[in-house]
Amino acid sequence: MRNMNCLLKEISEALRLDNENNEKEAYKKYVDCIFAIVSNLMEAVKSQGGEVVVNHTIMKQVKLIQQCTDRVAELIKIIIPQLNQCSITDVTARGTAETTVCQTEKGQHGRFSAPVPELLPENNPHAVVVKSRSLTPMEMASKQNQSLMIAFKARMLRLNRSDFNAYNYSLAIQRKMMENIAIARAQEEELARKMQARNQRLEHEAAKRFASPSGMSEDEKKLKKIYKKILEYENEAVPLSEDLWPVYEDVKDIVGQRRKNNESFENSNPEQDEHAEGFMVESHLNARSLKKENIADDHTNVTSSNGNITNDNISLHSPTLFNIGSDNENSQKNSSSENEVKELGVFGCSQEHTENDVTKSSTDGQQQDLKRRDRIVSWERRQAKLLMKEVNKRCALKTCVNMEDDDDLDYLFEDDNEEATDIMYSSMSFIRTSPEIDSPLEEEKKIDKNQIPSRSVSHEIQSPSSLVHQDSGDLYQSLPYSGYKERVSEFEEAKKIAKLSHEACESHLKTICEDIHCYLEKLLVLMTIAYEPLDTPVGKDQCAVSLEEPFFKQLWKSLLLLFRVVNFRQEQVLACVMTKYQSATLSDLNVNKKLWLTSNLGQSMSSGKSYEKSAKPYEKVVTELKRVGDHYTMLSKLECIVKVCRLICECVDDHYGKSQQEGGKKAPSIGADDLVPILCYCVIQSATPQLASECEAMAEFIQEGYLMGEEGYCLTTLRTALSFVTSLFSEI
Amino acid sequence: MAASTGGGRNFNFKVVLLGEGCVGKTSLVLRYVENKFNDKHITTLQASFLNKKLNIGGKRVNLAVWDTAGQERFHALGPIYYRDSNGAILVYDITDEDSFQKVKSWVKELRRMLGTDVCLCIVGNKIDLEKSRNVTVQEAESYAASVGAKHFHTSAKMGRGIEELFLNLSKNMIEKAEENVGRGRPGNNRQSGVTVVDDDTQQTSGKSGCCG
Repeated sequence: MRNMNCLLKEISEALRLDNENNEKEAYKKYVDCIFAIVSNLMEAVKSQGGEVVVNHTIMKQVKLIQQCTDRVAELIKIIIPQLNQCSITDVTARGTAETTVCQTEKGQHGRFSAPVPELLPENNPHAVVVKSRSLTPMEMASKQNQSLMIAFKARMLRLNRSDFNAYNYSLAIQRKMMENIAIARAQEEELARKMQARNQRLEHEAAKRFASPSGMSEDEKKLKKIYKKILEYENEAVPLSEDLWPVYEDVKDIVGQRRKNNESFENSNPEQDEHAEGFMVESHLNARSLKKENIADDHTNVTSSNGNITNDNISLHSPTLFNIGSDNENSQKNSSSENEVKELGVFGCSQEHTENDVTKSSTDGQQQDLKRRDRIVSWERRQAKLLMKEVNKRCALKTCVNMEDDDDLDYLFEDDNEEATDIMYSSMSFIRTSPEIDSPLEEEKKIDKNQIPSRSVSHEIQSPSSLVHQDSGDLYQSLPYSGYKERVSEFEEAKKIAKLSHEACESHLKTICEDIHCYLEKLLVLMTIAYEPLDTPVGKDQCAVSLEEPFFKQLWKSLLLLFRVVNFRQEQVLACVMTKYQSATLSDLNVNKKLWLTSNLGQSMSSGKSYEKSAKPYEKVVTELKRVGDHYTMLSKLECIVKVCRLICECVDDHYGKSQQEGGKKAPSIGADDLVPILCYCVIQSATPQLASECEAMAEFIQEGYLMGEEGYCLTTLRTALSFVTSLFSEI
Repeated sequence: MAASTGGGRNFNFKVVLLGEGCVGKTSLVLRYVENKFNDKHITTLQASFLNKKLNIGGKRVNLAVWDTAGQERFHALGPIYYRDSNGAILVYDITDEDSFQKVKSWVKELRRMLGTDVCLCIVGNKIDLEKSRNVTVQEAESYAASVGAKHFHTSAKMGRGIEELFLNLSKNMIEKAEENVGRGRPGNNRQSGVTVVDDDTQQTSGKSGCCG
């Protein structure tokens, strides 16, 4: 790896050679430099472990390589005539050959420059779009003419200028070129006619698909447009890279963007910022850096989805289109179709990301809801805001504020300011108030963070009242000022803040859940339009399942945090109960004696194994239960829960299977009467209070098909067990 | 999707099984499964959650039978069990007057939560113990009639009356579903499900032992 200084030296050397008109040497030197830079860039990527990290040096090198290749392309042009002069024989053949070389060189250059913006997606998302359509007849003709011209010039060099043949040649070549152009024009017209005819046909087809007697709604029109584009694509397997950009816009519109967003994604940065604040619940210690990461993530999402829809995704569609349909019938998964589905999902997901907060209210139907909701929550929010401001002002007066917290507070102030101006300018205040909701949220989050360690299983049990006390105490500690604790009135105030911010969080969560449902629904509609064979109940289920993974993968962490913030109290109570009952046995929970799974003393034959087992009955179940949090899609979580319930039965069977061989009794069947208490025991043993939030989220986003099935049953059972465990708190 | 799908050909029904601790709910389900599958040992959750496909007069019915924990201490969470259910089987022990009283309170709760859309079946179990009967046939049947529920006598031990019970309930639910479709009423909406009402559930905080 050559360092920058070395590189610059080499390049200046090349420049010197270039200036001395030593083209070939300069060419060599340039190529050498290009190679060096390329290997540098490769090295940089490798050293980052495959991650693309853009820094100043990389930027500089990219610029240099661009200049070098430009210069190389120029040099080639100069070198060619030189070559021609060297070998005058078979000039025409060589000439055309060199021309193609020249063209490919250019082509490479063109391709070269494409990946560069990829390194800086936030600067130029559009650059990912690679045009790969074939040439039009006109372009073909002009290309042909160019090569004719080159051949002609080469021949002219050989011939004496005064030669009569030269004149003839010139006439012939002009005629030939005119011909070419004329033919091309005719072809182009023909093509245009065909295109028009096809367009009409497609329009007709689309109209047939979305025919409705009572005219079309805005949404339906857009769906029709998309459908037409899909048909268009299916008709000719040419990527409609440019044409699809508007489609992407349309898709965005459908998903609920009222505001026509013609700006590039660069300009939507503030939205994303807002979104990051509104939706992501970061820990307060690294709130800022995290935020930045999130924004960057969003960017890559957006650009990658942009890339997807323009090249990969759409160009993949047609071949796999019917695979999905048939797969579906065979209820098998084809990996390629899945991939595709994922891409589509990613695309939807990033949309969700960018538009979540901003477009909350865009669809007309939602608007009324929103206004209603707005009215309900606005009072509390206003109160909360006022209180927050007061608190902030006060803590600004305190001197014991450290830098970090100061930062954080600044940022809270910013939010408030932003909000104030927004209220002035916008009547749809709710969209913008999400940052405001988040300032208390952020506070709460701090509490959460602070509490998590103390919530661990080993901490002491408090009476309900002392719990409340500690809770509020923590609130103060988490706020960046200490002398606060003494004043009782402020204590009351803080309590109020906590209450109000909790309410704000709740309503925030509710809106977000509604949004997610709404977006999932819309993505589903889009999918069924793109793949008609999927427009069956089974197909829709399949779609929903495929959507889940890419959709929730990105959201899950933040979503869970929000749920946890809202369910904070329950989790706290659960933690207390879990701690208290950690040593509780199955008998303490009134589990049927048959299911204690303790080996009889008489059966000491296999004492080693069964002793271990009796030491911790249902241990497998507990381990599995702890794993619920590792999954990030609803479906895999549900599967995990089903496995938990089944494992209970298995544990019993295993136990009795063993004793049966030794002449014991047959395994009892586990009805709900036994299942729930055992599950309670396992929940306590698992010592994971966040199960409560996980279950809440699952219950919110479980698909209806599963709600009725075993998955729904197991989830309900687990929730019952959880709330029973929670209810034990009153007995402590 | 919750109530029924399609134009009346395919039905998905959710049935909750309610009853106090030792009335034999689980045995009832087990007996129902075993009759069909010839005493194959049950390793899955089937004792608590049963999915059964039936064909009734050319109509395909998918029954999801949800067993619930009968112990008093789990009652507070009843509503999340029976939300969106199409049918409920309320089991009491004919030798146990208390279990019948419990059934009455469940009927009240179900009617309040689910309205008249839910098909109720009141089942007097353990008729093999006829001698020590404590709930009279007349009392049970007149009560069932008064709340618009069917009444059955079963014996899980002897496998009596169980097929009949499930078949009858399924037919009832089909009727109700078709009636609803005919009236153009949409199936239960997921979001419009049950909200927990506090007035009755307060009493359940007291802890009571169970038979086990």
